[in-house]
Amino acid sequence: MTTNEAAWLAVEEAPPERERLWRRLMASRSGRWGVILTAVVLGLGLLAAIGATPYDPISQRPIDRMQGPSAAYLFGTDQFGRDILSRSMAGVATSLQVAIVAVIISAVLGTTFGILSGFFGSRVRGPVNALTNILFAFPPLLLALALASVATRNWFTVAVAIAIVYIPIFVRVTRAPVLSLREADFIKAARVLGFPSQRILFRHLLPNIMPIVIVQVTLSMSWAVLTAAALSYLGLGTPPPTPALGSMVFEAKNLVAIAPWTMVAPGLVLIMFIVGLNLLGDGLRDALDPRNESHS
Amino acid sequence: MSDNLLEIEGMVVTLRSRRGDQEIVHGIDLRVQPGETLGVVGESGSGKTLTMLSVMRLLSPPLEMTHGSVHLEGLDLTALSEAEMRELRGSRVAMVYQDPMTSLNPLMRIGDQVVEAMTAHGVPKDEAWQRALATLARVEMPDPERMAKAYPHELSGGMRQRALIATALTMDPTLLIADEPTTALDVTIQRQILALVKHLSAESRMTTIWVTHDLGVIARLVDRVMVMYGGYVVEDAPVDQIFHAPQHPYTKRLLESLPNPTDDSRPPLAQIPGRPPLPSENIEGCPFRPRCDEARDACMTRPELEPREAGRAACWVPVDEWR
Repeated sequence: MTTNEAAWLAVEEAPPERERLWRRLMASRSGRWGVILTAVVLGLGLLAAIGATPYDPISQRPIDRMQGPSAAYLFGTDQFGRDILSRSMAGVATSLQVAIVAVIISAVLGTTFGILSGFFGSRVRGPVNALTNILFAFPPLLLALALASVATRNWFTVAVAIAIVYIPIFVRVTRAPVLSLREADFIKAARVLGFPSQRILFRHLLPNIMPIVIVQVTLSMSWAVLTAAALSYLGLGTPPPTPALGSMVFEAKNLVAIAPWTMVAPGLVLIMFIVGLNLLGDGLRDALDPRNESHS
Repeated sequence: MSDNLLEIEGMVVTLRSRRGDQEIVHGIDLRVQPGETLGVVGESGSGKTLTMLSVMRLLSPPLEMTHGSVHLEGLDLTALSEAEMRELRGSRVAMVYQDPMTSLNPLMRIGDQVVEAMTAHGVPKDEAWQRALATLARVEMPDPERMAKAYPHELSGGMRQRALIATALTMDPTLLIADEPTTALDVTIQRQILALVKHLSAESRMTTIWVTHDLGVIARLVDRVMVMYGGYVVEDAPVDQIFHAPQHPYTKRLLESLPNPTDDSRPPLAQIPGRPPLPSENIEGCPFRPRCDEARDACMTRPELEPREAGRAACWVPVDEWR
């Protein structure tokens, strides 16, 4: 009965899945830096969201315009005397809002279509494939630009435009594993036991592709932030006076010769945000892959 | 003859394709009595698994059952709606798969998987957990309470197969189809699992169909053996007759290819020359003719399955004329 005893030991020793994942994530360098950078930027954004910025990011103080970095204004002020740090923090909050909503929409719709087209036959796969191929044919930014310029512009329509651009990625990324899982013995076994389709889809298939979806969500967040910034740089993002990282960089570009500090804060948080999310995605991908599990 | 538990008549399974349809299972007739234990034997590709999947109506395109009927306890399965059929699967007909390593959902605890096999058929949740523990105990799982909380990767192959059997048997099905349930296990565990299923089916008077390519496995398990070859039933007879007086040359050759360490008169590993027919090959006459030592002119016409001794066989050549 040694195998049984070994099995019991294994049951007892295995730490909870979430704790193990966290440990594995923090053990890798990219995972660690991803968590730190993302946490810092998220912190800044959350502070701005609850109004805890050093100054009001919108109201103008002409007396203090175009000031360099100082104790009062850590990253200086812009041509309207607004605190660059406060505006950058508010910009993070805006792009977070846009990116989160965009990614939720594209993850939910994309994953749903991906699972359905992977699980059901060609009648579903055909149309879904055609649609994703059409969306894929356009460069993401161009498509987002076109979509964003159609509707009345506010943060939500920008989010929807970005969401549409990133739906096909989720379809592709989830469909492939569903295609192979559909043939897995435990899915066949579920059919043999008489489980209805929706139960098989949501109780058996979905949890098994969740790691892939989670990694894709993290990476898509960084793309969404970048796309949102690009749109607002081009003047099609969240409309002013709401601070947005892209439009701040655009304004700073015109002032770079006389007030180079205006570029620093928005550029820096944007880089930290995107690099952090990418590293986090990489780290999560490694941590969620059971093949990388090291037995320490 | 409606006192049969399972009655298959003229079952034809076809592989549909753009280039035309191909028959893979060619008109199977089969009757299984309540409480009987049947072995279905054949090489890979002989159609044994397809036949069983058709009984459960689990063939998926491009495979399709194009002719024939299946009755379970007098109920015409081919006439049921998909929802009615689903209700039947796992409650009245259950199936145990060959590979316990991959047949359990890796992300669900063992107990939950047994519970789900019941809640999917309307058993209330609070009752299901207690019943799951009882079923795990019935399949001789040591310490069911603790095992129920384990994940599949924490169990050995034999334990996983027990868990899988528990999911199949927890609704007390009247018919169990065991499709090579021991292929992936080592020999000692194999024996344990075989003994366990035999014991369980005898205990609950459950009709069991063993599907296997290994005659040795079923010798002591079944009452009757059906031998399939190339999508046809070639012999169907009581187990004693199959082993001691086979009525079809293929059965004879299958028996001879069983390793027999005590018989020095035979080569240690006999084989049947040639290979089983591909579904795309259209062999004229008897499907076994190209590989058969007894083949003669009559074999150019396909023999029907006809009564021979205590069973049925599909061969033109009487046993006493065999070389």
